[in-house]
Amino acid sequence: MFWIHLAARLVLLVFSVLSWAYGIASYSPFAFDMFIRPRLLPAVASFVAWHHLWYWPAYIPIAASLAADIGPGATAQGRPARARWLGFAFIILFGLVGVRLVTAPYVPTLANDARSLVFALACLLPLFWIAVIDHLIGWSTLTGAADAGVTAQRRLLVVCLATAGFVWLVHLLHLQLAGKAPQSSWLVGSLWALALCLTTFMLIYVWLSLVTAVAAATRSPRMWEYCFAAALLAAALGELLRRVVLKAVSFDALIAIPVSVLTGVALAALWSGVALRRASIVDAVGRTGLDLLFAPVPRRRGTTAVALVLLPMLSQAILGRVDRLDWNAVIQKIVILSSWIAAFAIFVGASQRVRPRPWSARPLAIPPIAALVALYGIPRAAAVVGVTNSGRAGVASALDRYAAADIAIGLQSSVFIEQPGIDPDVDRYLQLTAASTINGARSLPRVEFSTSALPSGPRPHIFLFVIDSLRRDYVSVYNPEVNFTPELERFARDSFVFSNAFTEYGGTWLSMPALWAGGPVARGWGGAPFDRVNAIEQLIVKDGYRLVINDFTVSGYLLKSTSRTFLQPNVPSVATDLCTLLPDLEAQLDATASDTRPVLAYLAPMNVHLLNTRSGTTLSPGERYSGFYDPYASRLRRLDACFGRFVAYLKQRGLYANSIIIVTSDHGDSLGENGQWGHQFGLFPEHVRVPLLVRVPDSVRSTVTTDLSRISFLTDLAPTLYGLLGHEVTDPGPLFGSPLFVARDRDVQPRRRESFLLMSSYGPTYGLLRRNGRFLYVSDLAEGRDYAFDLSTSSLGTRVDVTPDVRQVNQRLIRQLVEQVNAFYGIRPTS
Amino acid sequence: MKIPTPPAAPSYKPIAVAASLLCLYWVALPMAPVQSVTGASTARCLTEADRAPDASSVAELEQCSALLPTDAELIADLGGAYEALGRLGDAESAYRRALKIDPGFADVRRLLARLLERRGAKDEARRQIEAALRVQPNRVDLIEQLHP
Repeated sequence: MFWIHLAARLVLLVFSVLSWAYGIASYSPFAFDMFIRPRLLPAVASFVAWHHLWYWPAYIPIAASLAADIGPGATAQGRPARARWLGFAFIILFGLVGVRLVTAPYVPTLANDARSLVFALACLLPLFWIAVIDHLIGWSTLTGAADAGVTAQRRLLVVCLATAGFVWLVHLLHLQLAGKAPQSSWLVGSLWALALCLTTFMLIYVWLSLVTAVAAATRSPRMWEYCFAAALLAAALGELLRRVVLKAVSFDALIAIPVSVLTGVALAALWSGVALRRASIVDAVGRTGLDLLFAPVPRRRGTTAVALVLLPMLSQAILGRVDRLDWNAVIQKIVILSSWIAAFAIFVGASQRVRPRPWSARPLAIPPIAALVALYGIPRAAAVVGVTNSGRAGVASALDRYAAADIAIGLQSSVFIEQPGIDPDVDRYLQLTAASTINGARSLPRVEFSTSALPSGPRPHIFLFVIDSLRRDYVSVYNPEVNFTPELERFARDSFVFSNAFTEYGGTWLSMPALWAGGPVARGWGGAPFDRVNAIEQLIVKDGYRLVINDFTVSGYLLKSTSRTFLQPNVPSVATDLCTLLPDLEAQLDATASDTRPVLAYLAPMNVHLLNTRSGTTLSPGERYSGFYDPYASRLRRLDACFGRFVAYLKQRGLYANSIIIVTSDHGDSLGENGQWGHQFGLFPEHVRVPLLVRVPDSVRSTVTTDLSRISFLTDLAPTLYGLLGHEVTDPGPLFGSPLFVARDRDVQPRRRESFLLMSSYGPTYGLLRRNGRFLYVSDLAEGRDYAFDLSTSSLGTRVDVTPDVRQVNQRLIRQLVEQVNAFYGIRPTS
Repeated sequence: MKIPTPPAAPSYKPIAVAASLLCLYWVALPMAPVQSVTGASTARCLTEADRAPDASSVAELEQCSALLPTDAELIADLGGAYEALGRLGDAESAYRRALKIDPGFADVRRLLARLLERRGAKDEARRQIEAALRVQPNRVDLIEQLHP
């Protein structure tokens, strides 16, 4: 019977947590705009559409399990009257809620407003309710049986040491199996990882020692030990949610506190209720509060061994499935921390035979202090001895790279190891800026790249392809190792290939509008009158272009008066495919061939986005791309062929010679570099370097010059279009882009001595490009870490140490540039 | 089932020791990492290099280019300073170092070509201009330098 109760609660938990997560994502402006509004994840869209029906498979099992508690035999089983009434009320109330949801589905109506937050919190109500019922039924177990006292000190120590050792061994195994073990610093790194694991679990040991000590001083030691341990569990879960989940979706930091506390308490209370019900049907005599809290965990030797083998296998299997599609590694972190809790619980169950000894101060004090000493001493000893490949100076970077190779170690490192030297004032200013938006601003400064009249003569068609997540080093003109983009290579022969192009924004959400604006954008841009800075839209209107578009970022924020043809409006953004969009574009061009107005086509397909490349399903048998991520390369090969067919179409129709064709991407992607996948908050070289191929009309080609090696940005494209169309381009200021092409006797704007600000679309990460793009500095304020790269060595650059001098200069420059952007938009970051 | 024995002395001492250890962890964590070692302060050079220096600052440029050996702009500035002082051999060497770091530095190729022409190495000067034209196609002053 217990297992039926447990299964019903698990189903309820899964449904409630998924609903909670949707409410949280909808409430977060960033997550709503990024994931929900563009229907980025079809599974989420499907869950929302059928939420009112999914409700019932969650409701029926829990109602059935409660029916046993309120049924005819309940009194005989000693169920408290209050529990029976609460069970009855649950069945009635949530049954009515289910009927109401069927008649009027509520979740699809959620938007980015306070209703979503209320909904998320309401999703916790059934968990609290069930927890209360279970506690009423099982509480007598805690107080009724003979009190076994508190968990012995020696047993606590054994459990914590065993869990630390287990976590460390799993980490080593993971590194070996995944082939991620850094060669240069393996010995120092693994010892340092052991010190990290010991520190983590010695901290838990100290907390539990305090709990048992306080409980032992009461009249009901077992009950208080149970309550304190459950409170610790709730606090740990709440902190996990706040730091890992809510931070990852840029949730409001202040509101995150009560939300994480309530959710942590709900989850811990549900588990506690299950534990008490389990305890009520087993022999509670001789069990401590800690035993009872982890009661459902097996405690026979055989099952313990099996569980300890299965646990890492299960967690590794989950990690292997989600690691490429995990926003900021949220799911991976949850899986890892859950596996630690499970391992701890298994060792609690297995440690009952540990012979207790009288309490002593030494076993309590010496191991935690030894762990701290090891954590402090190992890197310093390595620096003195110089055991890493890079010698004394490279220990910090080597350990940082080691930690990045495994999330379990990276997680502990981010908590226990400080990054020194971040100026608190700069940090605070940038954090506040990251939390500030221009959402709701009634007016923005109007920016125009040209006030000149429409130039005379025919205007060329413009085809702007912004391939989402297209990496520069996966295009053969930038990397001779690539052999799967022959059509882009052929196109490049007729084009200008900009070798030093970057996006100023890591991530689509700010990168795309910046491209259209030809200048900086700020968070909340969608809620402000974007047309005032939207240079490409102004060009479309001014020069009488017909807009043909497929894009889910900017198109929703164009003026209603700007006529457009939206290709494939019913295809979700994640399924947008250049190979199906281009035939539609060709059909559109053919159907309107008699229209004398030129076309500006803007396509942003997601063929090579990680959401699509994460699976290798498009690979033919034996299809391999040595040195590249196969699914990505395979999809890019297909995209390249489709692009080649479109170029052939343009040539056949006589449109190629007089068109402007631009191929670029909004950002790159991590494809396993240093264990990273995706682009999330990162501004690493593979995120910010982009390909940029520009073909200008034949009539213009010999009349302009450029600098192909000068650092260039996506924000240069808008002024470039103005210039190529014959407008006299004005300079709106240093924050804005400038034309890539100028008359042959003029100089392109010099940039070698300038510093350029980079920003994450989704979090408090800032970067700085200097020295014509050869030096990249990244300040990740969310993780409190700074990175520096020398990009002159290769496309992905070489990580270099961040010295205090480098940090000081670059942080000052970042702040100055952020202040300029804030001044332009009138943002005043305040607490 | 063996019943664990409760602590022998359930007093306030365990509370005090555990609380003290928590305070120790509170103070010690997060822990400062081992610092990277730098030979000298580079902040001044990093900042100075943002400005085009005048020709009189050769010593400072030499010092900074030693500290920042991959800063092509700084080394190009040093080359310009040498050239202004008539130290043409040093200037040529500096320009070549800058180009080794950043082969796309077309302005330095043009300066180097001018130096090479002055010392009669016309073929190499032509190759430098041709390379600059691949980076800055159609540029009038480069074409004029190529076909005077």
